[in-house]
Amino acid sequence: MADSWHESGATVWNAVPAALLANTQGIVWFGTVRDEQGQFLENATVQLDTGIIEHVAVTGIEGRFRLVLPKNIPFDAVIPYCARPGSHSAYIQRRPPPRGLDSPVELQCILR
Amino acid sequence: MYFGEQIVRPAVLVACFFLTTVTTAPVATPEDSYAQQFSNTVQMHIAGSSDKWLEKAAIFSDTPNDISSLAGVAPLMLETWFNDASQRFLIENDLLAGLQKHRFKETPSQNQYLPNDAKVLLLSWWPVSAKGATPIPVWQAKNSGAVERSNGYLHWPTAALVQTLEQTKTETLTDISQVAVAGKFRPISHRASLNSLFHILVTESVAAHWNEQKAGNKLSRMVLGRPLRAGDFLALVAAHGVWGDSGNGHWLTLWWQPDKPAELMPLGPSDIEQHYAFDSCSDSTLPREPDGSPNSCFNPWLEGGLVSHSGITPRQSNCISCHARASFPPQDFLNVTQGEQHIPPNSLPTGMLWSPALRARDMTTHHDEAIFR
Repeated sequence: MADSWHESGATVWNAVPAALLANTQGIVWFGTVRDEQGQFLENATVQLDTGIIEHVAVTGIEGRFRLVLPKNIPFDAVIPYCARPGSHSAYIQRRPPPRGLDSPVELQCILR
Repeated sequence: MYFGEQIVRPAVLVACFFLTTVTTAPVATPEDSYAQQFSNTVQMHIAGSSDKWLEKAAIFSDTPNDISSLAGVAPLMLETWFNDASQRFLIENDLLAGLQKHRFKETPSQNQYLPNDAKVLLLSWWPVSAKGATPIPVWQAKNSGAVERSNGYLHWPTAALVQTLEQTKTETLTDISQVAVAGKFRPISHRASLNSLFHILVTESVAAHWNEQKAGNKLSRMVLGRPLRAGDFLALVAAHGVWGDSGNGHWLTLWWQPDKPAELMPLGPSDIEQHYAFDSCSDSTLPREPDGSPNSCFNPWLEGGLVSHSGITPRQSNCISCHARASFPPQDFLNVTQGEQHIPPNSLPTGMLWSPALRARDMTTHHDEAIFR
């Protein structure tokens, strides 16, 4: 599963909206939550724990979320969690920003 | 707390004398009476019989979404209710709409304190499903001391599983040891009946009201995995209250605490009140804590998530210390403070209430400093 997602990563990156790359107010975290069958999940909670405070988002109808974290928080200092009532994360992967940039960070959650 | 000790201590001593010599009937302490008044007022709101009280949205008719609706913030379903005296105070002191028109030289000093008969109540609700058990995070005092990070409900390690009375008749959930709530799977530390919480039934209009609000919509989706529906319930997890009384007023707070730890004072003697912890204060500093630090009076639901940049944990914070700074333009609203605090220079006091100050800030199209230039 991890490999198949990794392979599709390039495609996902190509689809990053320019607005996310141009964000200068903070570090954009965005991504999707799906189940093991690949269905995008609405109303899943994504929590990003920076070690100082938790930031939380709920996915929309297409299973997507977007959060903006303060600029001074490196992406590897953030612990992500994903869950939905009745299911928890089986797999979480983050993809760092493009070289030379500190934003955006992409997160992929698979719930079981 | 300090106010009570100063005024009533002789009376308590006399009462203790009669207790030991004449009767064994319990005597209400000042804390008890404030707790009882607070409990009665909360229950009046639960019963829907709060005549002459108005919710913030009805008073500040064009209030923008509050801070809890901001993306990324852990949402709370908050209501702020004002009694008729506090409404008059807001109107007479031009705190509803005219705040941003003032210049600091015109600062009306009467704005500083609420009138004696004013009461303001802030209620924090948690959605509970009509079907299936609903998790509620449980605060643990022993984990609340970190300075360097927030301890809001997203960080609390365990959850209580709450069921309605009907559910407990038909479902046994003893085989479940973990539950997903707000993004994390957490161990279940308690199983509780909805009847251990003050709660209201959600009607079609109540569901529509909360689903239109960003914070209510987000919290419902986080907890229930869907928006709120008619037939669900709203359970009271926390409340703040301020009674004008005199000067700083008397500040009251409660929160649902299913484990009823001995170090916390319960709200009252009834079964449901025993499930709520209670604290109150009328001074920012006194009586001092056992370690000599200024008096603390806090609520884990409402202050636990604040991040201090002053070296003080939310657990050490004090209602009056924070609200003494309430003024327009609001400065450093979310910082954690303890001890005596004052209104910043060149600011308009807002009766120790943050609501008018934050609302005026949000309604201001110019930057704060520009108004006072």
